[in-house]
Amino acid sequence: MSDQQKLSNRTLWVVALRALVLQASWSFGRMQNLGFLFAVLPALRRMYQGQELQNVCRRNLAYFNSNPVLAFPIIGASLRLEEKKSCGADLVMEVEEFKSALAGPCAAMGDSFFWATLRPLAAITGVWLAFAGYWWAVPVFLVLYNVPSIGLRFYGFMLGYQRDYKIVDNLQRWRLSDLAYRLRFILVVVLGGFSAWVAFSGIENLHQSTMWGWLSVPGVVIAGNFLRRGLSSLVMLIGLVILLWIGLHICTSLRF
Amino acid sequence: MPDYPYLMAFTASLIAGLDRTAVFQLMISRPIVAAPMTGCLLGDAATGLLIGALLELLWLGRIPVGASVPPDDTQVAIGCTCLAITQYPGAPIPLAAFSILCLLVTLPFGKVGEFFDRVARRLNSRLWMRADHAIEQGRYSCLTWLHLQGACHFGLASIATFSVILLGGLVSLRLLVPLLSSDLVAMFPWLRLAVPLIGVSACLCTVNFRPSIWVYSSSFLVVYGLLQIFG
Amino acid sequence: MSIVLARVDNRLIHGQVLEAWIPTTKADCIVVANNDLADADMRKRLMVAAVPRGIQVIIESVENSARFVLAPDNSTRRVMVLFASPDDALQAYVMGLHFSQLNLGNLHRPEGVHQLGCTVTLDHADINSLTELENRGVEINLQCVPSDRQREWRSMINNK
Repeated sequence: MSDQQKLSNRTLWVVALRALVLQASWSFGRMQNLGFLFAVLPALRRMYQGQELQNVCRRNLAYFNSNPVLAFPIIGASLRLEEKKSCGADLVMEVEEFKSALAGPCAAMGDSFFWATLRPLAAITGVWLAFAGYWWAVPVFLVLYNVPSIGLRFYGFMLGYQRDYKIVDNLQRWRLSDLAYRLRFILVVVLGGFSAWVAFSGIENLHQSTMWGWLSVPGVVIAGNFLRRGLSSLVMLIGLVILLWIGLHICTSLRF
Repeated sequence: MPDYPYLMAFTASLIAGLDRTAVFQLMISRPIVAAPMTGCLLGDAATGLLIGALLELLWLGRIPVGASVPPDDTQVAIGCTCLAITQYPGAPIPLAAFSILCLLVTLPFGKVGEFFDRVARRLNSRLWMRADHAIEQGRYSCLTWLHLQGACHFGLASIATFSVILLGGLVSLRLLVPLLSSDLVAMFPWLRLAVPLIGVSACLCTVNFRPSIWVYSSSFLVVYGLLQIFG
Repeated sequence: MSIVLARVDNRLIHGQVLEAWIPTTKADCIVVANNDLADADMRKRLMVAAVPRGIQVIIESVENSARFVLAPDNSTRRVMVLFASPDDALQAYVMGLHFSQLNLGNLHRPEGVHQLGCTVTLDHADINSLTELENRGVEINLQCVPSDRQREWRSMINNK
């Protein structure tokens, strides 16, 4: 690394660990701004003093919102830029501008990969194991989600710090959105397998012919249509309970 | 069951509630983890696991994108597990069927979580304004406390949500148990079949994958066919 | 051409747009109409990288965006148009990019005077542009994600 490095490895670790609570003061309006400042503060205090520190802190209190995982490369990279700036280097793009330029796309990539793909995939795997009665469903879920997420947090932070502006190339090369799309194929396959298993074992429990299970595909599609039109799954569930209750009462009264 | 079951449940509620937005996001806040964890603390992990799995499925499709706040599935999971274990009236109702009843009465209170979460996020707006003042006066160590105060707001919001779910759940259970207890046994296998399928269909709706219906159906047909041949 | 969604969102392409709006609107093309972005190479590259393959992303100035959407080649596409401010939306409308509804998603103005819901603050210029759009027959509403309730903007302003 260049001779412009002012920050010790220890400070970098402190910043990375503080970034884990990035969202503690999430607010409407400026979202993660205080969290960002909180994370980089120990480093800023090593770089600046007095009035300069005041200005740089103010700057870092600007609107910021990203995905909690992909915020790490942004924090790493902007830390390196602050450091260069404090050493008097000319920056091609101001730190502020850089931060806000990265925040939106990183939020998009992170949300679609971690929230909308990896988490449901890990969860459905865990749920399947849980339904099959294995207690280790819980650790499996936690490992499936956390290994990529914690790994990418620390790796991204380090890489961001090393590559500053060029982190954009890495982010672009990872193509997380495309990876997410491919993983969603697996997610849908697992959903299909899980439904088949649930339908089969559920119908065996009811002592009915397993041929009825084939009806669950149209059932799921019809339910999906209602849900898409804005009916909440809660209302659907309560409706189902009422229908079952009525059905059971009719059955028993017919029998006697 | 431990001596202070509610105290244990409140601890679980606080830990999981913080993980949800404020701290780490290790996914301890997901129902599939939060409910068995509560179950473990209250001495019945298996009930927690069943509740956690069912709730996880129902909320599989909800994504916390940007500023939109989803219902508080974490506190529903913990509240439901706590009620199922502490309020279980014993035979002839099987514990699993009673858990489903608890699930039905706590689910509607998830919305309350949205309200408290919004309050916490509004309160947090003051924090960065105060941080701005602190910077002006050069009190930098104050910033750390201001930031962590935000976590306290989220923690309090979780506890508040949990209390409402617990109280609401207790009252609804008193009303519904005499009414439904005899039918629950017969309804249980049907619900165990239907709830996962509703969850799957909710997830299929939100998943951003164009040919999802075709891939889903083929996967279902293959697995179901195999189960019929070999099962 | 069919515009499935016209949205004012100063964060442009982000999680809410990709994960919530694309699946519900089934859009296959996102047009970001923004004059500042058109020559900001880094932001443009990242935005394109954030969108999965199969969905086309066009980042152009307001004028070129309007021209792109109106081109006869693009008549079969389902387009989602994103603006960073109500003023851009008005400009595009004047240039012939007609949409019947305008969705207000996220808009943060440090010196905003009107707070509408949690995520939208408007200043006087925004109000003027939106009023102008409304006079031209555009329905303006607030909705962060499709699962939220859709609210009419006037009713929310009057409440304040």
